[in-house]
Amino acid sequence: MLTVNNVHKSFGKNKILQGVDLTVNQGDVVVILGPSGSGKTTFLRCLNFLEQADVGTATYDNLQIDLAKASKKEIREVRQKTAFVFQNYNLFANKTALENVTEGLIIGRKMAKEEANRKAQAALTKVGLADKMALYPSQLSGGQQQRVGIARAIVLEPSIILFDEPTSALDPELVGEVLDVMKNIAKEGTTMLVVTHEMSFAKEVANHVIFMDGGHIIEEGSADDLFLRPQKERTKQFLRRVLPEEYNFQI
Amino acid sequence: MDTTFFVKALGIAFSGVPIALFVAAIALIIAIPLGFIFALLRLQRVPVLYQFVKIYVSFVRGTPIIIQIFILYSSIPLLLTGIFERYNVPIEVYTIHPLWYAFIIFSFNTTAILAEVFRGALQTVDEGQKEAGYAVGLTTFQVYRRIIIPQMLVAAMPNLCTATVNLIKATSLGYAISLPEITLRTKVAANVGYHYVEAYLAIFIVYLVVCLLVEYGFKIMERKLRRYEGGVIC
Repeated sequence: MLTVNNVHKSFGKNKILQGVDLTVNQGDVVVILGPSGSGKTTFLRCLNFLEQADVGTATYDNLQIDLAKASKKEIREVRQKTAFVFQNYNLFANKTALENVTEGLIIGRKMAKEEANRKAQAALTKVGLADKMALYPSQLSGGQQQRVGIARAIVLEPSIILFDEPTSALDPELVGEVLDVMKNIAKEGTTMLVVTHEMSFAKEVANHVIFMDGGHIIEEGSADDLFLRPQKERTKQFLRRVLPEEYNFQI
Repeated sequence: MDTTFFVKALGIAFSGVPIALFVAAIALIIAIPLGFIFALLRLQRVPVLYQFVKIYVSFVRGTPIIIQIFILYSSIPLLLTGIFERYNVPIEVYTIHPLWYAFIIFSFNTTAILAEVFRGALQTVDEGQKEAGYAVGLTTFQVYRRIIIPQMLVAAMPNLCTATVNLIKATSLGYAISLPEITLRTKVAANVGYHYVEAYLAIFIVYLVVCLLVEYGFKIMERKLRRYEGGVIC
């Protein structure tokens, strides 16, 4: 579904990504873990052209793209195939929950208003916000805003949804409601690429886990492989710090 | 205090309101889009143009309007005479109505002010709003039109109101180029019987009323634009 090869990205002299490769198959939930500054968010943003990579290629379905010099048309095509869920939700502040979800359909995809509204209502119902559709983002809690953010992504029926630390900005007690929604859409077979610090989500939902540090992929494999049988010292070090004690991996 | 003249002066002053508002409206119609573009040029740091806008804004902000009026009012005719002579345009420069100069002068001035107003307002809109727009498949134009500008306007409203009120008051300087607006009309009427106190008081009241109404209009507009910021709506 998505194949990415050799992505490099620097900000000034700061090398953020140094050759990252990735393959995501239809229906996969791939989780990227790693300490702050490891480049995982930048990598995700490069896939949706929120940042432009210096080097790298990607294939979305059958669409092959040079990430470093894509045309405007190609960028729009990629954005039609992908959806993005932001760490800070980034809901359109001047639009209601419903309008946030319909915006991409009506304006981006030229869908008729009635059909867009119907789809948006279904998406908002799915994330448990059927009664909040007329509210503006400023009237919603962080968890509700992020669920609108997820509805805004799934309504586009993208080939893949990119999640950039979707729970990092939330109060701890609101994290659960967002993770539940994500688990539900994962169960429906949505292809997801998730940057997160939620180990429990990675353990329960991911069928592939990637550990990144210093702009490289250090190690990857199934959740069990990575959490219970990490091979690299750097991975072990990271897991020792973040994992709950119940994980008794061998050192 | 000559009350009869005062009442008469009020009437005369009010008769100048349409022209004052007309000049202000034209200046705003030109300055709003132009000021917005200038603000973008500055924020995006478009080479050369960005420096040009910066210098232009400092020039306008750093000089009194009356001097800008004198400079433009004396230089534009010279410029036009040269152009008209070269291309054989049969227009006598000195017969051009002062209204045209007023449009140019006040647009010139207001554009610079609004460029700064919009620059400040644009900076209040989070970069993430733009990214989210792109991510759902909007073009840059659509992102600005539907997401950025409506939010930017809310932040700009108070300063936009101040700029508009200042502009309306500044049209009183039109008397320097014999524009028959509020001040000039009333002053001319006062010349006859030396009723200057009554005339100035009338002018004072008329500007005050007009500006209060404009402020009130802006308040209503702002409340409407702000409806998405907190508070339960439905």
